[in-house]
Amino acid sequence: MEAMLAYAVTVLILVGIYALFALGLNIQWGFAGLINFGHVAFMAIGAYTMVILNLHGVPLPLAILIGLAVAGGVGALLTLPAIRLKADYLAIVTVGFSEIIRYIALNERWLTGGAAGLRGFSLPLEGIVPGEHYDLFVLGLIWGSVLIAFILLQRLVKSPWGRVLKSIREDEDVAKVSGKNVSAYKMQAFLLGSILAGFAGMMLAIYHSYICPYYYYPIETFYAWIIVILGGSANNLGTLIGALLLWVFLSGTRFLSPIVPLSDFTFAASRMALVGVLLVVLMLYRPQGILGNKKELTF
Amino acid sequence: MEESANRFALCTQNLTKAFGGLRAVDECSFDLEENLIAGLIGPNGAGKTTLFNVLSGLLAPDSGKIFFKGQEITRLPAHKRAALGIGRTFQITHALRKMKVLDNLKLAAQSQLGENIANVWLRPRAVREQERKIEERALEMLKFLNLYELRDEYAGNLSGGQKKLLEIGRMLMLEPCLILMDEPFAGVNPVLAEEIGEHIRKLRERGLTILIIEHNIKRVLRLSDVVYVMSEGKIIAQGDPESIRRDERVIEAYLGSGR
Repeated sequence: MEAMLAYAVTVLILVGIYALFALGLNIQWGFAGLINFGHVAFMAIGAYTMVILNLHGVPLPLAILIGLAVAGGVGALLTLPAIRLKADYLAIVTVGFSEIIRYIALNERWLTGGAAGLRGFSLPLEGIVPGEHYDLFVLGLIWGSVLIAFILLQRLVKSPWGRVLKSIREDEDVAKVSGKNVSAYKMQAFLLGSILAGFAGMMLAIYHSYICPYYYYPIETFYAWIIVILGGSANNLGTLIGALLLWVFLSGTRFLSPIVPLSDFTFAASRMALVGVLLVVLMLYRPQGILGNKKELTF
Repeated sequence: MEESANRFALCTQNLTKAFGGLRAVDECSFDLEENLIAGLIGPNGAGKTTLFNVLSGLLAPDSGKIFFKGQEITRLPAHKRAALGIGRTFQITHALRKMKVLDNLKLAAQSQLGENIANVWLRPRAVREQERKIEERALEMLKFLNLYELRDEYAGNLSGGQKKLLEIGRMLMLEPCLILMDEPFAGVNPVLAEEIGEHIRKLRERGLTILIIEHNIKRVLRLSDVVYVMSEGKIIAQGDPESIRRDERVIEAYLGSGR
């Protein structure tokens, strides 16, 4: 029973982290129609900035703020050369960028600890919260953040700002001749999305009290895509549901491992293949996702 | 030369835009006086739509200058030109099909507080207040265009003619003083076309300057105060409808010698 509960806490922590991560992508892709295949880069940038600064003596709250600023800033800067590009090229630039970041984390050992990663950084309220309840505290921290992010984003997407984003998603020229500075809005979408990814990365680092380059493979970006598409693009509540379903599926199927006659490696791969199949079926029968609006489906 | 540009709603000097070897707009110069309905005619491929794209800022010209009420706008991005008061509609309607009719109009209102993230979070009341006023204006506009009943419909469900009206409404939400309309009558039934013509005359009465690309010669000669004829990227003739009707170059380039 105790073990089951601990496991549920672990799953819910991951759900929360990936919900934050995917909410960021939902702003960019769901509302603004920007294809970001390098979302994980900002997770890495946020987490590494926080950890490296903290290990060099910067207090954790300040390190978190700087980490968010750096992740958001790099996200906004990346739009400068990339945003003029048509959708597919933006996808290539972003996925390339995320691999560059991962390789930097892997190879600049003096800064990032390389493949061995970094540990020993301080954790929020460490020593104040009793160690045996620390996971519960992290769970509360993450879900509190999810709630705040969700409320703030809901206000935004229902505002005139959200209306401009939707117009860009559908027809940039209309937004332009309607007096909207399209590049500035794309930059803001990337800024917000990257801050959320950076924060999710920090929470993941805090949860593991460790970071290493292996957390930042492109598959993480595609988890966010699966979550957004599953829940319904341009629907923040759908994104939360998508995050829940994906992690319940990924962790739930783990229990099947002993009864399925496959090697561990084949089993893990089959799970991902099954996710793919389920997505294809979803696209066939409900292309708008669980909560998406079919009438507003742009792609 | 640049002094004299002040009198005009729009003034271009040697405007050129080439696509590879094709000079779609070629050393094009013309002046457009304020508060007129101007027709822009010319054979297919004359460069009319490219000229509109350059004027509205969607394409950057290779050379030449554009003045709007005496102010040079050649390097100004499209959204700033719209904010200055240059509105445009498209030949193939660009209604935002996946957005509701009302939202299509509300989008184009200028200086919206709620387009700023900080205002949305920190001044929600001011944003709501302004949004309410914008909605009132948008509803007024829909009544003016006889689209009021369709306000909550997705724009994609409108007929071709209704989409044209919607686009005109969206453009008018900018409160423009110069409007560029690319074939507003194309694919519109005769009754609705008459209605659109009536709207255009009303806009002139309100003091707007209107430049219209149109292929229907009869309609354009009837509606316009002044007509410009474009051929191979240049303005080859301009004048009142009567003189255009008689102009030899126009007859040759456009109306055909059989007339």
